[in-house]
Amino acid sequence: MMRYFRIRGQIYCHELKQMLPSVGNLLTFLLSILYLAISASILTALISLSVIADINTSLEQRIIYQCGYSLLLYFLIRIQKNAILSLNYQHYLTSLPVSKKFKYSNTVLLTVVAGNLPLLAPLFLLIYTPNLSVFISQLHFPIFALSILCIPLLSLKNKSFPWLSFVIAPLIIFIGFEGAPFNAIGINSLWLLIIVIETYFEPLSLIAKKSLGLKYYGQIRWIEITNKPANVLIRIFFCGLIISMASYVQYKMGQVANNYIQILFIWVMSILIGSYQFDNEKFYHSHAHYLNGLLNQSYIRYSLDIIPAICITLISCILLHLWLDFSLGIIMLLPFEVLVTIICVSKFHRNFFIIPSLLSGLFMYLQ
Amino acid sequence: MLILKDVSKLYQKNVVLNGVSYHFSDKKYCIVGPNGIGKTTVLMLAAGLESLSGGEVTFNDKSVFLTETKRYLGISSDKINLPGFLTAQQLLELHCSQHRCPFPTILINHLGFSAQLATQVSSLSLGNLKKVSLLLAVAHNPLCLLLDEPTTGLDSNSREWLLSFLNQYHGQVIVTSHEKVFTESAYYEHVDLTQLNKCNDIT
Repeated sequence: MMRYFRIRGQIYCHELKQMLPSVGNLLTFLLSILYLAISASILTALISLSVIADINTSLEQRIIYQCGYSLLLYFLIRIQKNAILSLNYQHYLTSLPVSKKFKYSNTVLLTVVAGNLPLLAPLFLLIYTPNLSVFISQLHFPIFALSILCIPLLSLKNKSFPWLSFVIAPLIIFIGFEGAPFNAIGINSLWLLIIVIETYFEPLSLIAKKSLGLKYYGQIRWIEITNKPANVLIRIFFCGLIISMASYVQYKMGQVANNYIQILFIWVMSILIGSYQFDNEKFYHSHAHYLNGLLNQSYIRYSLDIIPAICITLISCILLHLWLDFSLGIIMLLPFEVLVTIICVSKFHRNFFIIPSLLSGLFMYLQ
Repeated sequence: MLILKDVSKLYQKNVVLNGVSYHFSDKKYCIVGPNGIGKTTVLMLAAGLESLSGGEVTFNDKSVFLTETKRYLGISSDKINLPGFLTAQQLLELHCSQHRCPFPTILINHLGFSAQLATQVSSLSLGNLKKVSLLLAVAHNPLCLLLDEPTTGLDSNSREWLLSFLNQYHGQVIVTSHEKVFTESAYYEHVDLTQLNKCNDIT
């Protein structure tokens, strides 16, 4: 039995090792700070637990912090899904004479390892509840901890992104309860219920299955992204992380070197988002003949394929402007540099970051 | 009419085809030649799926790289890597939407493929993958069918149906095959690529 666990553990480590260089392939220079970034994200999240635990936190803050925390855990598990479930070695593992219970217990253990602090921290906090009356009066937090325990299941079990739990439900709760007196226990219970429903029934995918047939090229890429969302999610995750770090750095540095910091963050984000073009290039390379046989023009395909990168860019621009007060002049640099990076990935492959970096350097000099 | 005019193709620095010229003016052709001579490459170039290193390929006097020409061509080849994450149904739906043709239900039934429509392409067996590839080639009733080893992997019923379908096909059919049903058939004019390909002269 221990041998089985050792195999699962080795597969998990091997898959992570495979994953990190593939990220590093896109962001060679960022590889060295990847580990720091992960730990930084965990620490940022842990700080937010104090806000979540406070029953007097406002509705708006509660939704933002709880959603942010849950999303972080969701992405953390999702990125490691292949490694946790050993998906690439399914047939081999199924052939082994190991009971289902033991397999599940191994998966649970690896999930705990993968989720580590963000998964366990709410449970640890619960241990410090002094007595039952406090536990009951602060019931919103145990319910939140319960929903956090459901997130890994949601992340591992479902193929599609949980739009209902992370986008639609928070928006409805926010709009529905805005201005009205709200109860943190009620909101957390409602949210937990939605997460459980989405985990077991995936109502949105039931609707999607009844959608119109495949008619347009853009739908192909959408299906591909939803089937293998790791590459998009990893960029969303790191963009969120970079924005959080920018917020922290801005707070610490004040206004003294603001423009330079802003350009630095824009540069990192543009290269991170623009490197999404590697996915597109890989797709073109793998299906070159099939794509050449399609009747739509290649420039239309190129334009459609950069939409995910453009969406992440636009959302980042809005966040940077509204939340961090980045100046519009500097924000305009982000879509421009993302486009330059996308073009450079197509033209120069591994040396893609040289031209965007020079542009950023020039812009910084002009500042 | 499909015309290859002084066609050359290099992969990196390896010459695969050199100075191949041919007018496919009749109804049915079978391109023959030993393995590696470039039969599949000829089909890929004829369908406009690969760039030419030299020469010209036209169908009805228009370049095969034009979208309007591609509507008249249908190709099936194992070399075409179909998106494995789509189901067969989705692939066919997209194809029919692009070519504005009806969903090929009758052809699907003839090939006994109905049960596999909901299966992802990556999970299909070799034979079923060949069936999808054939369905994509014939669904829009092209004027010119380019089929690379069309019977490989097919079960006997599907094979029989395909052969009779090709014999009665209204448009031009160009196949590459080593099978006697094509190489010894009176229906098909044989094109020996060894003689057309001047690449052999270089080597």
